[in-house]
Amino acid sequence: MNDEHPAAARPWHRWSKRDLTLVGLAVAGVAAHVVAPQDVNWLTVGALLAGTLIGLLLGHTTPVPTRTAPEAPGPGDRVAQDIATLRQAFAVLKCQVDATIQSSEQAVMSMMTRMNRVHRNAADLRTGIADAVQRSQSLSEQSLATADEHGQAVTALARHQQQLDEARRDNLGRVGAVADRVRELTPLAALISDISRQTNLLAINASIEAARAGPEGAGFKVVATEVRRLSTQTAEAATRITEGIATAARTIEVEMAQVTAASAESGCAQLDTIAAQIQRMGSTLGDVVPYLGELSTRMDAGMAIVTEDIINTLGDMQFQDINRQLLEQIHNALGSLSDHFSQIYQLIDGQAPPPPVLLEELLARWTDDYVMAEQRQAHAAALAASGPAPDRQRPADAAAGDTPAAAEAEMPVTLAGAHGQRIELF
Amino acid sequence: MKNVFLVDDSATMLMSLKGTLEISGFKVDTAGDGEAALGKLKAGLNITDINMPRMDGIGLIREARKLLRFTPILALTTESQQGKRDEAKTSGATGWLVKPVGGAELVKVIKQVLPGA
Repeated sequence: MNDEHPAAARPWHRWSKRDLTLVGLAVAGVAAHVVAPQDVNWLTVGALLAGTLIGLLLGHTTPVPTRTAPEAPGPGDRVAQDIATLRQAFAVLKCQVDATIQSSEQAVMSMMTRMNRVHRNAADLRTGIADAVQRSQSLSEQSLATADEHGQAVTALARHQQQLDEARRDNLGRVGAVADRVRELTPLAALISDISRQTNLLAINASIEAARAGPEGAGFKVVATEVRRLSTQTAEAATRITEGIATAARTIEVEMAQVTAASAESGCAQLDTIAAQIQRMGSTLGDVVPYLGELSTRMDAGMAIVTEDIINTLGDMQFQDINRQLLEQIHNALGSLSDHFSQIYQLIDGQAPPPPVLLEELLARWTDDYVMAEQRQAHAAALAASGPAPDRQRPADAAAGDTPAAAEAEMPVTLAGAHGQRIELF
Repeated sequence: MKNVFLVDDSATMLMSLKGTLEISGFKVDTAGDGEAALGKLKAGLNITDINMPRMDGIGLIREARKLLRFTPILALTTESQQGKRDEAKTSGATGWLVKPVGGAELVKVIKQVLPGA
């Protein structure tokens, strides 16, 4: 034990042997002077007193090394020393409790800040997505309506094109009939050619007969020659007619073939293709619109769950306030214990009267600070578990009438049910 | 948007309740004790703690009733003594809620005492 208290500040029974020796010498000197003033003069007494004072003053500045003192501290010293240290222990515990309250409060507030931020961001995101979905839905509905209009227009065009195709086929049929009729003219050309040949034979025979008739047949010979020339021209005309008929028929066939080839890729077919594409696009848009609606509904439902979770988590954070109150009560209880044992220490030192209440009463007064049913239940359970209070005679001043506070503390407290009536509307 | 006024000496309680109610669509103001709350009481809904420094919740309810006769005032507290609950009731409290109260549960109670919320 390293006791640095000056001797004058300690009770006499805790003084060191050196201090006691010095004081004893001083007392002895004074007593000797009183008993035999003639043998012990004031100079000697003064020297003894001065030596005592110097020794005591040295004791003030120079701690007495207890290690060097062979004597062991008695039980009273140990109790007094530990009670003195209790105040420090209580101060440390109170600081720890304060630090716990502050750190938990900071942590909880940080968590709540984050939760609020999460909700804000989620809400912003939901608003953005809802806007996008609404716009997409609106655009899809407009596109669907436009596609429907285009589909109807293309269907009308296709119907019109079909009528045109039918008219073209009819025309082609008529042109084909004309070509057939033209080709039917070919036998007539052959007939003309045959007549020309027979006319030529007649002309030849007429020329022979004119030659046999001699000079009388000269006129007839001229006629025969002219008929023969006419026959030749008729044959040439018949040939050209035949060629013309063949050329006309061939030209009609070529034209018809080209028209038929062109009609193979008719506008009607192309319009059918476009109509089919528009129909497919409309069908796709028709699927998109309900999908967007479903997406919006699911997003709202998801956001509602997130919001409920955040709200309930924020509610759960109230535990910190409850813990804070519990810890503050412990803090106050430690303070009262510290004060109580400080008074006990002073009582041992003989510097103060006994504390106003016994520790047992102090314990009971703690219940005045309780606000929660759980605190009172825990208090009662701890007392029951630790057994009955020691049966001791109380000091007369405390036992005589019991203080009002103590009497109040012993009164039964009517509590709201720990688990019932948590919410009551009046 | 309905007004809610919160009075509590715990910063975490105020933050918890404010966050919960703002997310639920209420406009929220706060005060740290009864005395600070006196000049700020709202005509919507007031929710007060009971055990607070300077002026406690029961004192606040008593003073508030002089100004706001029909405005709902809820006590939200850890206090479990029936006497305090009875005192709050006679002082004009609309209801008594023991902490902790879940967010959804609180909003449900508010909708009961605050028509149209």
